[in-house]
Amino acid sequence: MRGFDVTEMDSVDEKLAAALGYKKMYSKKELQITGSIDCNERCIFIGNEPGVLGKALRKNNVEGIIISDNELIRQTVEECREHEKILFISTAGLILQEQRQRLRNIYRTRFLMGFAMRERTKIALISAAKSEAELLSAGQMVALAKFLGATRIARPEWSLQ
Amino acid sequence: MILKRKYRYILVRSSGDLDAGMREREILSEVMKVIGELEYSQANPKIASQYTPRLFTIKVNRGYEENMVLALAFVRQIDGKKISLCSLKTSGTIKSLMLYSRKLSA
Repeated sequence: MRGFDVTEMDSVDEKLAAALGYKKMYSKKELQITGSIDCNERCIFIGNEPGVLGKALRKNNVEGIIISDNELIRQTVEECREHEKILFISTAGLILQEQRQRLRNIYRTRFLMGFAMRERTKIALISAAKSEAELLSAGQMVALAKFLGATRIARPEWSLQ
Repeated sequence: MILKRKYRYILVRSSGDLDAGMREREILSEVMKVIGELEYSQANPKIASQYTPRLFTIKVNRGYEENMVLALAFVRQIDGKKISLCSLKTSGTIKSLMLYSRKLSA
Protein backbone atom coordinates (compact mmCIF):
# COMPACT_ATOMS: atom_id res chain seq x y z
CA MET A 1 0.00 0.00 0.00
CA ARG A 2 1.44 3.37 -0.98
CA GLY A 3 -0.50 6.47 -0.10
CA PHE A 4 -0.13 10.17 -0.70
CA ASP A 5 0.22 13.21 1.51
CA VAL A 6 -0.64 16.89 1.16
CA THR A 7 1.60 19.44 2.83
CA GLU A 8 1.63 23.21 3.11
CA MET A 9 5.34 23.34 2.30
CA ASP A 10 6.53 25.25 -0.79
CA SER A 11 8.28 22.23 -2.25
CA VAL A 12 8.81 18.62 -1.22
CA ASP A 13 11.89 16.53 -1.89
CA GLU A 14 10.90 13.39 -3.82
CA LYS A 15 13.60 11.35 -2.10
CA LEU A 16 12.21 12.32 1.29
CA ALA A 17 8.68 11.38 0.19
CA ALA A 18 9.90 7.97 -0.97
CA ALA A 19 11.87 7.41 2.25
CA LEU A 20 8.76 8.16 4.31
CA GLY A 21 6.81 5.62 2.26
CA TYR A 22 4.65 7.89 0.11
CA LYS A 23 3.97 7.56 -3.57
CA LYS A 24 3.66 11.33 -3.79
CA MET A 25 3.60 14.32 -1.49
CA TYR A 26 1.73 17.34 -2.81
CA SER A 27 3.24 20.72 -2.04
CA LYS A 28 1.49 24.07 -1.70
CA LYS A 29 2.16 24.88 -5.37
CA GLU A 30 0.55 21.71 -6.71
CA LEU A 31 -2.47 21.50 -4.43
CA GLN A 32 -3.13 24.30 -2.01
CA ILE A 33 -5.29 24.20 1.08
CA THR A 34 -7.44 27.31 0.95
CA GLY A 35 -10.33 28.90 2.78
CA SER A 36 -11.24 31.03 -0.25
CA ILE A 37 -14.23 29.94 -2.29
CA ASP A 38 -13.00 32.00 -5.30
CA CYS A 39 -9.94 29.79 -5.85
CA ASN A 40 -9.99 28.51 -9.43
CA GLU A 41 -6.98 26.21 -9.18
CA ARG A 42 -6.94 22.65 -7.94
CA CYS A 43 -7.39 22.89 -4.17
CA ILE A 44 -8.71 21.50 -0.91
CA PHE A 45 -11.22 23.75 0.80
CA ILE A 46 -10.98 24.30 4.54
CA GLY A 47 -13.83 25.76 6.56
CA ASN A 48 -16.47 25.11 9.19
CA GLU A 49 -19.65 26.72 7.87
CA PRO A 50 -22.00 24.14 6.31
CA GLY A 51 -23.30 26.55 3.63
CA VAL A 52 -19.84 27.55 2.41
CA LEU A 53 -18.55 23.97 2.53
CA GLY A 54 -21.58 22.88 0.50
CA LYS A 55 -20.81 25.52 -2.15
CA ALA A 56 -17.18 24.43 -2.29
CA LEU A 57 -18.18 20.79 -2.73
CA ARG A 58 -20.14 21.68 -5.86
CA LYS A 59 -17.04 23.15 -7.55
CA ASN A 60 -15.05 20.92 -9.90
CA ASN A 61 -11.61 22.23 -8.94
CA VAL A 62 -12.13 21.32 -5.27
CA GLU A 63 -10.68 17.84 -4.60
CA GLY A 64 -12.21 17.63 -1.14
CA ILE A 65 -12.74 19.47 2.09
CA ILE A 66 -11.23 19.79 5.54
CA ILE A 67 -13.62 20.60 8.36
CA SER A 68 -11.56 22.86 10.60
CA ASP A 69 -11.31 21.66 14.22
CA ASN A 70 -12.66 18.30 12.99
CA GLU A 71 -16.16 19.20 14.21
CA LEU A 72 -18.85 16.84 12.93
CA ILE A 73 -21.21 18.60 10.50
CA ARG A 74 -23.59 15.84 9.42
CA GLN A 75 -25.01 17.74 6.43
CA THR A 76 -21.54 18.40 5.02
CA VAL A 77 -20.38 14.80 5.39
CA GLU A 78 -23.51 13.62 3.57
CA GLU A 79 -22.95 16.18 0.80
CA CYS A 80 -19.35 15.04 0.54
CA ARG A 81 -20.53 11.52 -0.23
CA GLU A 82 -23.16 12.73 -2.73
CA HIS A 83 -20.60 14.76 -4.71
CA GLU A 84 -17.99 11.96 -4.43
CA LYS A 85 -15.42 14.25 -2.87
CA ILE A 86 -12.85 13.32 -0.25
CA LEU A 87 -13.16 14.28 3.39
CA PHE A 88 -9.59 15.16 4.35
CA ILE A 89 -8.59 14.95 7.99
CA SER A 90 -5.54 16.96 8.94
CA THR A 91 -3.29 15.29 11.49
CA ALA A 92 -1.68 18.60 12.49
CA GLY A 93 -4.42 19.22 15.06
CA LEU A 94 -3.89 15.78 16.56
CA ILE A 95 -0.12 15.83 16.70
CA LEU A 96 0.96 19.38 17.31
CA GLN A 97 -1.35 20.44 20.12
CA GLU A 98 -0.74 20.28 23.84
CA GLN A 99 -1.95 17.22 25.72
CA ARG A 100 -5.39 18.45 26.81
CA GLN A 101 -6.25 19.99 23.43
CA ARG A 102 -4.89 16.89 21.71
CA LEU A 103 -7.17 14.57 23.69
CA ARG A 104 -10.18 16.70 22.79
CA ASN A 105 -9.18 16.67 19.12
CA ILE A 106 -8.71 12.88 19.13
CA TYR A 107 -12.20 12.43 20.58
CA ARG A 108 -13.74 14.79 18.01
CA THR A 109 -11.90 13.18 15.10
CA ARG A 110 -12.93 9.68 16.16
CA PHE A 111 -16.55 10.83 16.23
CA LEU A 112 -16.21 12.47 12.80
CA MET A 113 -14.49 9.41 11.30
CA GLY A 114 -17.06 7.03 12.76
CA PHE A 115 -19.93 9.00 11.21
CA ALA A 116 -18.14 9.41 7.86
CA MET A 117 -17.41 5.68 7.69
CA ARG A 118 -21.04 4.80 8.41
CA GLU A 119 -22.05 7.21 5.63
CA ARG A 120 -19.48 5.56 3.32
CA THR A 121 -17.71 8.84 2.62
CA LYS A 122 -14.17 8.72 1.26
CA ILE A 123 -11.75 9.71 4.01
CA ALA A 124 -8.05 10.56 3.74
CA LEU A 125 -5.59 11.53 6.42
CA ILE A 126 -3.12 14.24 5.41
CA SER A 127 -0.37 15.88 7.40
CA ALA A 128 -0.84 19.49 6.13
CA ALA A 129 2.70 19.96 7.42
CA LYS A 130 4.23 23.44 7.25
CA SER A 131 7.78 22.16 7.76
CA GLU A 132 9.75 18.94 7.61
CA ALA A 133 9.52 18.56 11.39
CA GLU A 134 5.73 18.21 11.16
CA LEU A 135 5.77 15.33 8.69
CA LEU A 136 4.66 11.79 9.53
CA SER A 137 5.67 8.63 7.71
CA ALA A 138 3.12 6.51 5.84
CA GLY A 139 3.40 3.82 8.53
CA GLN A 140 2.59 6.33 11.25
CA MET A 141 -0.41 7.57 9.25
CA VAL A 142 -1.75 4.01 9.01
CA ALA A 143 -1.21 3.46 12.76
CA LEU A 144 -2.95 6.77 13.47
CA ALA A 145 -5.87 5.87 11.20
CA LYS A 146 -6.32 2.55 13.02
CA PHE A 147 -6.13 4.36 16.34
CA LEU A 148 -8.87 6.74 15.20
CA GLY A 149 -11.13 3.81 14.36
CA ALA A 150 -10.51 3.11 10.69
CA THR A 151 -11.38 -0.50 10.01
CA ARG A 152 -10.55 -0.79 6.34
CA ILE A 153 -7.45 0.95 5.06
CA ALA A 154 -7.47 0.29 1.37
CA ARG A 155 -5.14 1.15 -1.45
CA PRO A 156 -6.24 4.68 -2.31
CA GLU A 157 -7.40 3.94 -5.86
CA TRP A 158 -9.69 6.93 -5.66
CA SER A 159 -6.86 9.15 -4.52
CA LEU A 160 -5.60 12.25 -6.25
CA GLN A 161 -4.25 11.48 -9.70
CA MET B 1 11.70 -25.31 28.16
CA ILE B 2 13.25 -21.93 27.50
CA LEU B 3 11.25 -19.61 25.32
CA LYS B 4 13.22 -17.24 23.21
CA ARG B 5 11.99 -13.68 23.49
CA LYS B 6 11.36 -12.15 20.08
CA TYR B 7 11.81 -8.51 19.25
CA ARG B 8 10.81 -6.12 16.52
CA TYR B 9 13.14 -3.41 15.28
CA ILE B 10 11.92 0.00 14.09
CA LEU B 11 14.07 2.21 11.89
CA VAL B 12 13.53 5.82 12.97
CA ARG B 13 14.50 9.06 11.26
CA SER B 14 14.64 12.28 13.28
CA SER B 15 14.14 15.71 11.74
CA GLY B 16 17.25 17.07 13.47
CA ASP B 17 20.61 15.77 14.66
CA LEU B 18 20.53 14.16 18.08
CA ASP B 19 23.25 14.37 20.67
CA ALA B 20 24.51 10.81 21.26
CA GLY B 21 24.72 11.07 25.05
CA MET B 22 21.25 12.40 25.63
CA ARG B 23 19.48 10.53 22.86
CA GLU B 24 18.26 7.31 24.48
CA ARG B 25 17.16 8.73 27.82
CA GLU B 26 15.41 11.75 26.33
CA ILE B 27 13.65 9.93 23.49
CA LEU B 28 12.42 7.09 25.65
CA SER B 29 11.19 9.42 28.39
CA GLU B 30 9.15 11.30 25.77
CA VAL B 31 7.75 7.98 24.51
CA MET B 32 6.83 6.97 28.08
CA LYS B 33 4.87 10.21 28.52
CA VAL B 34 2.71 9.21 25.56
CA ILE B 35 2.16 5.49 26.12
CA GLY B 36 2.22 5.37 29.92
CA GLU B 37 4.35 3.41 32.36
CA LEU B 38 2.44 0.11 32.09
CA GLU B 39 2.58 -0.09 28.31
CA TYR B 40 6.21 1.09 28.37
CA SER B 41 7.28 -1.68 30.73
CA GLN B 42 5.60 -4.27 28.50
CA ALA B 43 7.05 -2.88 25.27
CA ASN B 44 10.51 -2.46 26.86
CA PRO B 45 11.91 -0.15 24.16
CA LYS B 46 15.66 0.25 23.77
CA ILE B 47 17.79 2.02 21.23
CA ALA B 48 19.59 -0.79 19.44
CA SER B 49 21.91 0.98 17.03
CA GLN B 50 22.61 4.24 15.29
CA TYR B 51 23.58 4.57 11.64
CA THR B 52 23.80 8.35 11.20
CA PRO B 53 23.06 11.26 13.60
CA ARG B 54 19.48 11.16 12.27
CA LEU B 55 18.91 7.43 11.65
CA PHE B 56 18.68 4.91 14.47
CA THR B 57 16.89 1.72 15.46
CA ILE B 58 14.53 1.09 18.38
CA LYS B 59 14.08 -2.45 19.68
CA VAL B 60 10.69 -3.39 21.21
CA ASN B 61 9.03 -6.59 22.34
CA ARG B 62 6.98 -8.22 19.61
CA GLY B 63 3.34 -7.15 19.60
CA TYR B 64 3.99 -3.60 20.77
CA GLU B 65 5.58 -2.21 17.62
CA GLU B 66 2.39 -0.58 16.33
CA ASN B 67 1.86 1.36 19.55
CA MET B 68 5.50 2.40 19.48
CA VAL B 69 5.20 3.69 15.90
CA LEU B 70 2.18 5.76 16.93
CA ALA B 71 3.88 7.00 20.09
CA LEU B 72 6.84 8.23 18.03
CA ALA B 73 4.42 10.34 15.98
CA PHE B 74 3.34 12.19 19.11
CA VAL B 75 6.90 13.07 20.13
CA ARG B 76 7.45 16.67 19.01
CA GLN B 77 10.18 17.86 21.33
CA ILE B 78 13.38 16.28 22.63
CA ASP B 79 15.49 17.99 25.22
CA GLY B 80 13.84 21.35 24.50
CA LYS B 81 14.49 21.12 20.74
CA LYS B 82 11.65 20.82 18.23
CA ILE B 83 12.36 17.41 16.72
CA SER B 84 9.96 14.92 15.17
CA LEU B 85 10.50 11.19 14.79
CA CYS B 86 9.35 9.27 11.72
CA SER B 87 9.33 5.49 11.68
CA LEU B 88 10.53 4.36 8.27
CA LYS B 89 10.42 0.58 8.46
CA THR B 90 9.64 -2.19 10.94
CA SER B 91 11.42 -5.52 10.76
CA GLY B 92 12.15 -8.67 12.73
CA THR B 93 15.88 -8.51 12.08
CA ILE B 94 18.35 -5.70 12.59
CA LYS B 95 20.26 -6.73 9.46
CA SER B 96 17.45 -5.89 7.05
CA LEU B 97 17.12 -2.44 8.62
CA MET B 98 20.84 -1.91 8.26
CA LEU B 99 20.64 -2.74 4.55
CA TYR B 100 17.63 -0.45 4.15
CA SER B 101 19.41 2.43 5.92
CA ARG B 102 22.41 1.99 3.59
CA LYS B 103 20.07 2.21 0.63
CA LEU B 104 18.60 5.42 2.04
CA SER B 105 21.92 7.10 2.65
CA ALA B 106 23.32 6.05 -0.77
